[in-house]
Amino acid sequence: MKKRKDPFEGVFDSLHDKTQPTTEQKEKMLNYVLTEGIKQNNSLWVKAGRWITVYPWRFAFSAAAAQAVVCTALFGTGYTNLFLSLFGG
Amino acid sequence: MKSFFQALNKPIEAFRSENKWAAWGLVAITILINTVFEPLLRAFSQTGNYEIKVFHMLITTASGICTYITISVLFWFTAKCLGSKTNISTFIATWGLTYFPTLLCSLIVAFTEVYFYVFWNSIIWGMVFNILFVGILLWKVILYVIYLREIAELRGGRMISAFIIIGIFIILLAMANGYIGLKTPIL
Repeated sequence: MKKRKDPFEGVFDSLHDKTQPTTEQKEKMLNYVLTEGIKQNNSLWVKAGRWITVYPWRFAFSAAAAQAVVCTALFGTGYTNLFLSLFGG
Repeated sequence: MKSFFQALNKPIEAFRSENKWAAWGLVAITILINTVFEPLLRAFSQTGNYEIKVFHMLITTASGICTYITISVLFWFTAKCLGSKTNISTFIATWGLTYFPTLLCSLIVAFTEVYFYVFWNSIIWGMVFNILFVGILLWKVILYVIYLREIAELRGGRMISAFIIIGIFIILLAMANGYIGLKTPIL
């Protein structure tokens, strides 16, 4: 009668399996994943999205300050009064 | 306190942690600023000719709570129609985490309403409040989009559809709030 193989033995055997990637191949795969990951994380959209979603008030008040300076320079108190009457009056 | 800072600075993480007490706490403070703090500020700023109406305070507070539940249900219903699998309880437990700008807005509106004559025609105050109001509006819109992506789990066309449909509901509820007497809508 054939002796039943220990499951752990099978696992250890698979480590020496010739069909599995070699250390060199594994390193190449790891390098590929890392370089692609860095490329994707550094794309402009991802960076902009992260900048807006973390500390959302930072982007909101910066944009608001820019429009307030430009529009008040162009239209004066008429513009600021419009917002006061719309939101707070 | 950590949850409040998380809701303020890192909304995505705050939504994922689903801290309902932080969310409801923010909603409660916003409602109380609108319904209790504003009439008290008005009463103290004027010389005896403003009467505090307790019944009106109770009505507006109840309306604020109803508005929060209604908008959460509308979020759930619209998102469900668009294919979201999120439970209604998650919507009720997390929408309040977007209430930092609403809270700030209700506080500013209380002061601009009562001391209107100080800020009118003043270029410096006008610019300060312009930055605050536009900033708050942008902040809320950013949180609204993050909420639709993270909680309703909608992307692309579905997200844009939900943005427009719930946007219409928000405008209608804001008008109803204004009619009742909530100067900053509890949304």
